[in-house]
Amino acid sequence: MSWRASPTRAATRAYLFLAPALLVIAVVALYPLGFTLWLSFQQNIIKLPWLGTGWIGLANYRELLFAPRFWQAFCNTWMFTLISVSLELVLGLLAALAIHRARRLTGFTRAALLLPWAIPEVVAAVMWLFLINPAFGLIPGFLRNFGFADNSLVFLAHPVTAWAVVIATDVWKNTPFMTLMLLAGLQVIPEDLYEAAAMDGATGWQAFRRLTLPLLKPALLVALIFRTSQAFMVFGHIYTLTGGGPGNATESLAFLAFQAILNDMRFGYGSAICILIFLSSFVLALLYLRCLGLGEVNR
Amino acid sequence: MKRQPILLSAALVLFIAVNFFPFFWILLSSLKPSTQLFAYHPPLWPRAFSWENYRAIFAERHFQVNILNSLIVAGGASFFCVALGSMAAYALARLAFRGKSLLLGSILVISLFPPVALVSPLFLFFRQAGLINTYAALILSYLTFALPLTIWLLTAFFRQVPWELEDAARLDGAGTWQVFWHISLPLAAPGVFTAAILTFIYCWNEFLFALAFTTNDQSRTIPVAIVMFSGYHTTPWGQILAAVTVVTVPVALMVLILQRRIVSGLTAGALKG
Repeated sequence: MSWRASPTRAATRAYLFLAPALLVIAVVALYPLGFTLWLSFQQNIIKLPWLGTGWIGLANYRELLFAPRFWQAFCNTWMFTLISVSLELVLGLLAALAIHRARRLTGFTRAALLLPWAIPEVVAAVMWLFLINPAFGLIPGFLRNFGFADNSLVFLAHPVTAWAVVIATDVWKNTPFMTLMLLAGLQVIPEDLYEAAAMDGATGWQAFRRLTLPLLKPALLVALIFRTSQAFMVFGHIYTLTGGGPGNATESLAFLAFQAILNDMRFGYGSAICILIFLSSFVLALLYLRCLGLGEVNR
Repeated sequence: MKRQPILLSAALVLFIAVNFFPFFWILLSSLKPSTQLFAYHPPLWPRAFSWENYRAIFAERHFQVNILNSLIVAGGASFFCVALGSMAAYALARLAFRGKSLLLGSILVISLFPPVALVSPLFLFFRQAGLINTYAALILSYLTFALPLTIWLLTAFFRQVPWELEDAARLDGAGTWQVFWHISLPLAAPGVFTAAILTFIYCWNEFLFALAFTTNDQSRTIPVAIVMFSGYHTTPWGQILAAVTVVTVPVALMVLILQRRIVSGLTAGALKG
């Protein structure tokens, strides 16, 4: 430490530097979050004011536990997160290895990787809605050449194909991010390690298992934390692509909470869903922090 | 150096094509007159170019208002994030105090919060304060996710600034604020700029809060406006594609020009924090 003043005075100054930002975070994020928790124990339905508002204990949570629509959204969200992030991880790793091997990350390649990441998720979703439009979309038009029947090309009308669209487009949008993160991780692995391994007679697969994967771990974990937490909160993507349909087949937890709050104006019930989402993603974050090792967070 | 296996190059070309092609197709389609746009077998290259869709979004839908909204909201939020965040990040990167690792950990955890958990309290506050449909509501709500992210990024950048100049200034009797303002901040300027770009992109792309806290066309930001183009019965595809192109072309140019910075920002938190 090159700090020369007394430790307490130094700390006071540090807190002064931190105060504005922490105050803002406390007011706009932490206080509302506490308010959400409080709301989740309340009856607060703006559309039905005659029911009154007030403390109803765990009634919202009890209602959730017995709501099939909630459990469907719960399973949907975990399924979406697991499948999308795994696909993005595998494809992103393959692409990163290929680009690293080819040693050709030209500006053009990098821009091609950044573009899907940089546009709003709902804009990407709208683009894909056009590409899969059953009447004049490019993809159904292409598949029609192979004898697919017209009614099988209305992807969003069937739960399985609707999920395929939701997952495939999410993978399209986010694999480039994964690739960039992993590529950055690969680029800091010293080349001579591979030369030494080759001298010792290691095969390409052995070098990958014993060298690349362990050394890539920090980059892998950070990319996974970001992607998993984002996938778990998926909202705009589903709102735009399927609107939760057909039926309620593609609803995510965030989508369900949003509908409960802003469509049905059930602030208490919606807040209870939010608290459960929050707890789930908190558990995820803790798991990841444990994997990362808290020591690494504070370097 | 071994020769490139053809398979590897082919796979790379395919990967890049898959990334690029949808944009290319949307751009071409936005210029097609509706007879070609909705053809059963749409022509790959437009047989005639038409600017009608572009005229319609600006003249009839006043899309420029939504662009302005997005610029103000994303610009305002990034400004506050960088101003507040750089001070906090400086303290986290450079000053000694108790509970630093706990604070950094909590900031990371906050940036993993599900934003939907804030929709109901913020909606009730904004409604009570008459802030629905205002820039203030969007900027305030964007700070919730953008500020922790900016702090996290900037902390990584401040750590890369060499210590020596700060030490020299301190020996000359400069106070903490002077060292921060005259030495560290200018030295970290490229990092601050990068953090500002990333924060801007995240706010520019935000959808959930923008959808929840705006109720009319004039106050919507770009992503919400584009989604709301569709009516109950008709979807004006030509106009949607034109709007998508209008907002994607500047992003593409920005990404092309600032790619190194953006990538360094994306990976700053990940490696050697």
